[in-house]
Amino acid sequence: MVGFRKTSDQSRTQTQARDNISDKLLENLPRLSDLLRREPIQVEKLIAEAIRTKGIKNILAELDKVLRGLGDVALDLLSSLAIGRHVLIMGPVGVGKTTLAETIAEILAISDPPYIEVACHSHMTATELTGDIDIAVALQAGLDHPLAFIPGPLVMAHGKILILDEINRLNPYSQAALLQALQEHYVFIRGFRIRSDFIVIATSNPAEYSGVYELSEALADRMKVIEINYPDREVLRSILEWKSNSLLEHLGTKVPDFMVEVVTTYIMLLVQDANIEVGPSIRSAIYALANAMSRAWIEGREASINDLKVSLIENMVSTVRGNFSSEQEKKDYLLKKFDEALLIAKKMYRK
Amino acid sequence: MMLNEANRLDPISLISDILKLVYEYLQTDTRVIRPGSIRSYEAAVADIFFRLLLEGGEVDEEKFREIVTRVGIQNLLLSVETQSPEEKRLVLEEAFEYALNRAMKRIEQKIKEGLGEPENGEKRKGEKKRGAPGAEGEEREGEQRGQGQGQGSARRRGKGSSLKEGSEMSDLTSDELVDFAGSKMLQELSKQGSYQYSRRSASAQMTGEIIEREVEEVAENDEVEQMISTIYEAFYGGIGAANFMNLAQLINMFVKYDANIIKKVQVLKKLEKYLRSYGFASSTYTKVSSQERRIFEEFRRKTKGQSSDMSQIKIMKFVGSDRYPTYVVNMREYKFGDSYSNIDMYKTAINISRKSLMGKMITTKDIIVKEYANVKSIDLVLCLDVSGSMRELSWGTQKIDIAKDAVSKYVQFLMTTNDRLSLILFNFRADVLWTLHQVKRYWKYMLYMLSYVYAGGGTNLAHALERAREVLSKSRSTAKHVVCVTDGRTVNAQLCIREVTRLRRQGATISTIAIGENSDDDLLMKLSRIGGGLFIKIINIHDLSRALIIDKLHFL
Repeated sequence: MVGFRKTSDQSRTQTQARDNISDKLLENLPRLSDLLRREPIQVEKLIAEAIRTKGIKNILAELDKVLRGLGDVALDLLSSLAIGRHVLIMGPVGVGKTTLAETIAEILAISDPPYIEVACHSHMTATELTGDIDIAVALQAGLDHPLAFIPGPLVMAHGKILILDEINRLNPYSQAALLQALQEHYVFIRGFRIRSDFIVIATSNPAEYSGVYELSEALADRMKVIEINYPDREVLRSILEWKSNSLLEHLGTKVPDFMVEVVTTYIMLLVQDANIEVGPSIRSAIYALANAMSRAWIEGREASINDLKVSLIENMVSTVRGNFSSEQEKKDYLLKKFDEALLIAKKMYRK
Repeated sequence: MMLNEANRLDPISLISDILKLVYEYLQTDTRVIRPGSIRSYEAAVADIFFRLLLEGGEVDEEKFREIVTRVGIQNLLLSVETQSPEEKRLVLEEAFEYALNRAMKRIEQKIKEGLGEPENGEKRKGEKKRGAPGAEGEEREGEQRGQGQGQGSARRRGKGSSLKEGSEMSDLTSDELVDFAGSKMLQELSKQGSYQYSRRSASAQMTGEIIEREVEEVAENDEVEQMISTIYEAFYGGIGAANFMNLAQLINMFVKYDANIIKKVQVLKKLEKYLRSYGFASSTYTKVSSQERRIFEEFRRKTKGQSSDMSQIKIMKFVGSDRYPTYVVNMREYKFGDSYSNIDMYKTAINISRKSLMGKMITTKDIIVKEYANVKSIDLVLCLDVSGSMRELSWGTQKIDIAKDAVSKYVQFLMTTNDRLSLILFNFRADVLWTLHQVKRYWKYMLYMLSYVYAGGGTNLAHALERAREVLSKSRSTAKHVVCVTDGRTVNAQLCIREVTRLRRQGATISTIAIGENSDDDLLMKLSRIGGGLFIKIINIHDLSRALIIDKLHFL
C-alpha cells in the first residue's frame, strides 16, 4: 500500500530511471546483426600469449592456492590448450576436475568472462546449446531486437574457453550440434550462420557410472584425454588437512592431525578394496572431517573419533558404490573398514 | 646428456619419429582394430613438443620418456581402437616403450656416427646457408634411416625443413621458444602430414605382396576359377559400356540382394583378391602423386580453416509441414527449438488477433505448437553414383574415393543413432550393396564393404530409385528417407519422376545431392520437391560429407 501513496511526479521519475537502466542493459546484449558480423579469433594464440605473459611458474603458483597435487596435470592441460587441442578431463567424482578447468580458465583470463560453463545433462537439446530466436519478440520488435535472439553457450563462447561439465551425459543429438560447431567453427540457427571459435575443456566420469552416453567417434577424435586419479597418500593427506582447515577457519577450530591420518588411511583402504567399484570422493572426505569438527563445536566439546565415524558414513554413503545387496550392508561394510583404518592409523601414528 | 644434444638438434622430428614407430607398432599388433587418425597423431606431435617446452629448462631422459608416453597416450586414447577396451592403455604403453627404445637406439647410433663428423655448430651454419631446403636434409635422412621403405619426395621435403627449424631452435632460449612455437605451430602441423603418406605406401606394399602370394596359393580351386572368369567378363566388357558391373551387382551374383550384410562381407572377402588383381581395389591402386596431393589438400584446408568454402553449398528446402509421417500427440505453447513448421497457424492466428484487439503484447504462450509422436529411428537408403564420371580427378584424387570417404564419415555419424542404413550403387544398372541394417551394430562391415567400391559405366538414377523402393517396401518404420548422390545426367528422366512419386506415396522422403557443374539440377530439384526433402548443390565433391550430414541433421 505504501508504494501507491507516492505522488505521480515521483513515480514518473522513478520509472524513467528504471527505463534508462534497462535500456543500458539491453544495449549490452548482443544483437543478431552483431553476431553475424563476428571475426574469427584464434583462441590458441590468445592462450599461448597468456601463458607467455603470465609465466608457467606464476600460473602453477596461483593454481596451488585452489588445488594441490595437480601441477603435472595442469601442465598437460595447458600444453594442449596452447595448440588448440580440445581436452577431456576424466576421473572419479570429487577429485577436482571441474575446479581445475575453471581455475585454469580463470588464471589464463583470455576474455571476459574467462569461460562459459555448461552442465550437460541427457535431456539437453541442440537448441539449448546453440540458442534460438524468440519468435514472439521477433514478430513485434523485429529480428534485430536484442531480446529476439537468445544465444546459447556455443555462440556465447566465441573467443573463450567452453567448459562442458560431464560431457558424457550429452545425448547424440546435442553431440552432433557440438561437433558441427567444432568442425566448421560456425553455429547454425534458423538459417543464420554465426562464427564461433572456442576451445573445449570437457569433464567426464569414467564409463562405470550410470546415465552415460558414448562420445561419438568424430567428437572423441577431436579430444585429448587427461586422467586424474586419486592422489597418493602424502598429497591426499595434505589436501585433506588444508581444505578442511580452511572450511573451519571461521569457527576457530582445527582438525587434529590424527583425524586426518585416519581419514587418509580410510580412503586409501577403500580405493584399493575389491568390493568397492566407485570409491569415496575427496570432496566428501573433506566435508566429513569438517562436519565432525563443527558438530563438536556446536555442542561445545572436543571432537572424538566417534564423531568422525558418524560424519564419514553420513557423507560418503551416497558416493560409494560396490557389490552390496542393500544400503545397510554397504553401511556395515564401511563401518567395518573404518575400524580397520583406525587400527592401522593408530599404529602409524605411534611411529 | 646424449639425449639433450639430440633433442636440441631436432625435437620435432624426434617426436614424430617416435610417433611413427608407435603407429607402425599399432599396425602390426593383432589386438588393435584401428591404429588412430591423422588428426590425433598431428595433435600428439604438437602437444608433446609444447609440453616439453612448458617444462622449461633441462629435461632428462627419464622425464622425456615419461612425458612422451603420457601425453602421447592422452592424445591417442580416444582415436585408437583395440579389441577389448581394457587393454587399450596397455597396448599403447607397450607401443610407446617400443618406439622410445628404438628411437633412442637410433640417436645413439647417430651420435656415434656424428663423432667423426665436423662440429655441430658448423653443420648448423651449413644448413642455414642452403637456400632450398632439401639437399642436406635428404643426405642426413639417408644415413639416419637406411631401412625406411618407400619414402617419397614430399616426406623428404618436410623432413628437410623441420631439420632446419630444429637447428634454429637450438639457438633460442626456452622462453623465446614458446613464442616461436606459437607462431610456427601451424606450419609444423602441416609438415607432419607427410608421415602418413610414407606409412600408407609401406603398408600398401606389404599387403600387395601378401595378396600376390595368396592368389597363387588359391588359384587351383575350381569354384574360384569360375569366379575369376565371371569377374573377367564383368570387367573387360569395357568401362563406359552398358554391361560394366558395379560392386553391388557383382556381389549379388553370388548371394541374394537382400542377404544379411555379414554374408555379403564373406563373399566380398573371397572376391577381394581378384578385385585387387584387376586393379579395382584401392590399396594396390594408389598413385604416388595423387596421394601426395591429397595430403597437400588436407593441409591446405587445415591451415586455411574450413570456414571459407561454406558458400559452395547451396541448399533448397522443399519440406512441408507434413514431413514426418506421424501424428499429433498434443498441443502446447511455443518453446525454444520448436520448428516453425510445427506451429498451428489457425490457433495462433486467433490468439494473436485477440491479443492485438485487446492491445496487449504477444508472448510465446500465444503461439501454439503441435507436438508430434517421437520418431525414434529413420530407415535411410543412400543411392550412390558409381558411374564412369566418378573416376575423374578432383584435386588429384578420384571423386569416387572422396565419395567413399564421405559415406564412411556418414556411417560413423549414424553410429550414434538407432537408424538403419542401406546402400545402393548405381551406374547403368543399380543394385543393393547392403540392405537395411542398423548402423550401430554393423558399421564395421559397412566400412569394410565400402572400401572396395569402384566406379565405371553410365548413370541410371531411375533404376536406383526402383531398387530403393524395393528395399523400403520391407521396412515397417514410420520414417523412411532416400538420399541420392549423383554428379551427372541420368537416362530416363521421366521414369525417375514416376519412381519418386511412388516412393513418396509409400511414405518415404527423398533428398538429392548434386555434385559439380555437370549435374541435371532441374531434374534433381524436381525430384526433391516431389519427394519433400532437401536439394543440396555442391560444386566441390569434398563437401559431400558435410552435405550428407546437413541432410541428416535436417531430419533429426
